[in-house]
Amino acid sequence: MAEPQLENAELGNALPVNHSSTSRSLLRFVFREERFFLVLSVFIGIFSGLSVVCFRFAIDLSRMYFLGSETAASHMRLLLAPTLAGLAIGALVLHVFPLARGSGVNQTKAALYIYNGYIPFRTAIGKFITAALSIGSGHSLGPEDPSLQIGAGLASALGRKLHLSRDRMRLIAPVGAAAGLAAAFNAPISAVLFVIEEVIGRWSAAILGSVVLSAVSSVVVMRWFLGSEPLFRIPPVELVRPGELIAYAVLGIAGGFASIIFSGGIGTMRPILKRMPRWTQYFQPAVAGLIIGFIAIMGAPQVMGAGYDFIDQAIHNQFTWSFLGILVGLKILATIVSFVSGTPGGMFAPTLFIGAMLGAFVAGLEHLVFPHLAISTGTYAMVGMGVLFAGFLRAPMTSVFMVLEVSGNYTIILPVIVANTFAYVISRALQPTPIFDLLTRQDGLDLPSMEEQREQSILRVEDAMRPVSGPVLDAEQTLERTIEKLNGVQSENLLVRKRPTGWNTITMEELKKMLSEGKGDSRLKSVLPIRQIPYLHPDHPLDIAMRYIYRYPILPVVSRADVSKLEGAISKEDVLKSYHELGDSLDETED
Amino acid sequence: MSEERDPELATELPANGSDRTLNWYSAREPLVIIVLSAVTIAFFFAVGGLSHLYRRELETRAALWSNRGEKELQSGRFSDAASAFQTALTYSRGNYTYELSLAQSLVALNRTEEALAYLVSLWQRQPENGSVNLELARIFADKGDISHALRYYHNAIYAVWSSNPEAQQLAVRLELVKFLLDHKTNNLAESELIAVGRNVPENTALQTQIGDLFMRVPDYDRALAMYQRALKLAHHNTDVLARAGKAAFELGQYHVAERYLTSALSLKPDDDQSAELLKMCRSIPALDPYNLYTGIKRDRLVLSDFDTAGQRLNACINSSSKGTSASTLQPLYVQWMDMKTRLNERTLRKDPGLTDSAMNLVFNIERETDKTCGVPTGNDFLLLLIARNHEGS
Repeated sequence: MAEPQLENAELGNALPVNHSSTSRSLLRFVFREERFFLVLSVFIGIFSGLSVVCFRFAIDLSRMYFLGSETAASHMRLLLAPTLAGLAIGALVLHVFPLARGSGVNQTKAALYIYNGYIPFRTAIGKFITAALSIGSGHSLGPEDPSLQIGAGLASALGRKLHLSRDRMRLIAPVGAAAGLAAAFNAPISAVLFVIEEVIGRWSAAILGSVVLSAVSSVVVMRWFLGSEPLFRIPPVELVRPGELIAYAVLGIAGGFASIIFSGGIGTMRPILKRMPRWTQYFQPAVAGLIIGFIAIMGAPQVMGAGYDFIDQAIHNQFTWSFLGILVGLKILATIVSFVSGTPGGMFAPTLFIGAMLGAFVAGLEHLVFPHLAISTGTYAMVGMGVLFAGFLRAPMTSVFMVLEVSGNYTIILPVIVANTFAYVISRALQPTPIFDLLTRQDGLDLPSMEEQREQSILRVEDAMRPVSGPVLDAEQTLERTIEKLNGVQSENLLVRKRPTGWNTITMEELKKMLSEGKGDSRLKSVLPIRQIPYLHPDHPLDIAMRYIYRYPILPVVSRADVSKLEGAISKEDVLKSYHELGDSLDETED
Repeated sequence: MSEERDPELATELPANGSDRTLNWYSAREPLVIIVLSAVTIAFFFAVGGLSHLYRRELETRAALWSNRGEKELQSGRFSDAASAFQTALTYSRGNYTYELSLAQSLVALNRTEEALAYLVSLWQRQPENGSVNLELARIFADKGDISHALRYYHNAIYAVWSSNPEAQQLAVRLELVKFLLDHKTNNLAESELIAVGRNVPENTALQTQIGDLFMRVPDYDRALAMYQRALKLAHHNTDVLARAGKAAFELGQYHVAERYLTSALSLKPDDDQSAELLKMCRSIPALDPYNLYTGIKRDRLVLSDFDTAGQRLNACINSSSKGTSASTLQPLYVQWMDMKTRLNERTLRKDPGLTDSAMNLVFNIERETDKTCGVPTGNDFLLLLIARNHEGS
């Protein structure tokens, strides 16, 4: 019986040692494609970086021509620019670029899980044009998510041209997405984390290298053309007393509730607009533009576009606290109407805007109540950005690193973690479905929820294993002596310990048969039908046991400290029973 | 709404092509990398060209708004200037000159916190920039933060100035001296002024200004020397003559002061302050017994000054509260009364040391009553000046 040399189940994924020429060439191919994929990731990063640079030019030029070159545009422009651009966008997304609607994060995720990494190149082009029009004309949306989709679209097109295998094609979209997002954000670490946290959903060595390479390449290209200046001028950050963390917790709580209002607004309004007759979709972006223009002429033009300049101003305490509060409300409203109308554009920038304004608002309020406290508005605004990121986008890891990367100051980490935790917990408690999952479900898609995956209860071997009831046989003993010892034992499947660390199994029936064949003087190890079996550790996921349990009636569960020490045993029945019990408990929870 | 299945997706899904790709890569990998590199270079150049056009457009707009801002700044319309510079910065993000101009506009608008944010960022980029250091120094000076203001003023003095560095450094040093004088740190101010005085160019206005600052320190010697240097360039400048006269007066050089003040008044007779000073210059010698070596006139002058001081002391004791007079003035009164019984022309003639004792008591009385009852007038004021000259106070 040709068995692979398997010992520990962790090594079980290794390829079987088979010296056929087909396997050798397959192995060479795998490594070759692996290496080529890394090289390709660099090219994807460069292409995405270049595309995002062009995208930024397009947005800026669009803004200049729509809203004029002065900082305070005329009322006519403020009203007409987003409205007329909305009309054009409505027609474009209905007839030319139907997949360009929305932010782009879910579309990239759908490409990964449904379409084998396929994103039509036309979608990337459409996203570029329509998002540049919408953001430039003042719709309350940002360039990051579209950049993510443009990067993913480019990567997908490149992968198709190069006839990559299906597995690689599935991975290539996230690689492009990370590159696009990194270039848009000028923050490679946050981009990598976001793509892993929200799009891929798992840490995988196979893709991590490619994602990092593409993100870094795209940022290098972006900085080549647009400079390496950070998005905001960052004031000095100081945490004077640990007691200040209480104040940041208050900001976290406020951010949690603001996130609920924001995601609740989108979750409620979007299906209503979707149910409206198709002809209304021509006008929905225009109406959204009209509402935003109206908000602007009423005295809050800051809500238009991505709003990075105004975030910078909030960080530097250039707004009164009451106006900051108004901006929080108006920006939530403007972003909801922009997004639910189907206007292409991202939610990252508005989220940062709302967070920064909320942070500065809370700082202003706290200063009003406790005038003796040295409260830094800039620090609150930056922490606020992370808070909304954690509460609204529900990307807790990214939210922390994003603020760290943007601020370049490690001191801010404690306030960010404290505030983000509060925001995340409140948002989770009051809005169980994260915004991206909510949107996919509204679209009738069933993509895996990264948050649910993260928090899924995992069954482990220790949940299914049982104590060894029968004796453990010694492979060094003779068959005759072994059978003598087994007198009166009822167990059918028996474990055999092989010195020094191996394990094996044999049935009572096989033992008796060998004895009748006159092998009584032979050592047990010389008559065993297979060389050895894999063993498991108690902390292994039960899924690993599933890979082997159909081939062996019983598997040993051994200690990690001493693999000759038996902790228990596991059989197919034990595994199935555990899954059955889990299913019952989930049914009860759902009921 | 955002996700609708495109019919394209159904038809173009990639097949699992591992066998196909295996052969494909074996044959073409180097070629693919070369082609990708070529496409990258072409794309790079294309974006470079676009970037160039885009930047030119932005620079044009930025320059337009910056010019507008400069005009508004010069016209004193700081709010419009700030707005114009902010617009310029949207087109030329991080432009050093525009940010500095914006910061200056914000300082003028009293929006110091915003200005400070810009200036700190500019300082981090170019810590050696003179204008930035000066603006920062002014902001901290306005806040009363002496240590930071001094740091930035000193930075500005030794900083790099794009045009006319010597004049700029001198102007900063003078501004620093004024700041130090305003904050009563006269010793530091004097050190800075001495440093300025060594290399001051031949310019009457500048020398007069430095002389005025020496007067504020007060360092009348150096002030007089500076005015005298200024007068070498402008002999008949009435303002400088009057200032030199005042400096000489403060030094107790009444004859010198009289000469300058007379010249000043001959050119500008309506200068009341100089006229008053001149009058005092002429009166003080007549009251100072030390101007006369010996003789009856000197003794009579001592007796007269003694009586004047006694009257001032009496008046001051009567006008001030009992507690104050008891603690400081009563002992003087007792001394005065005691000496009064002994002091006459005969005793002065017999005991030359008595002149000094009497005049010392006179000076003490004038000094103490000045503290208790305010600045005296008339002969008492002149006696106080004489006291200061003789006792170095």
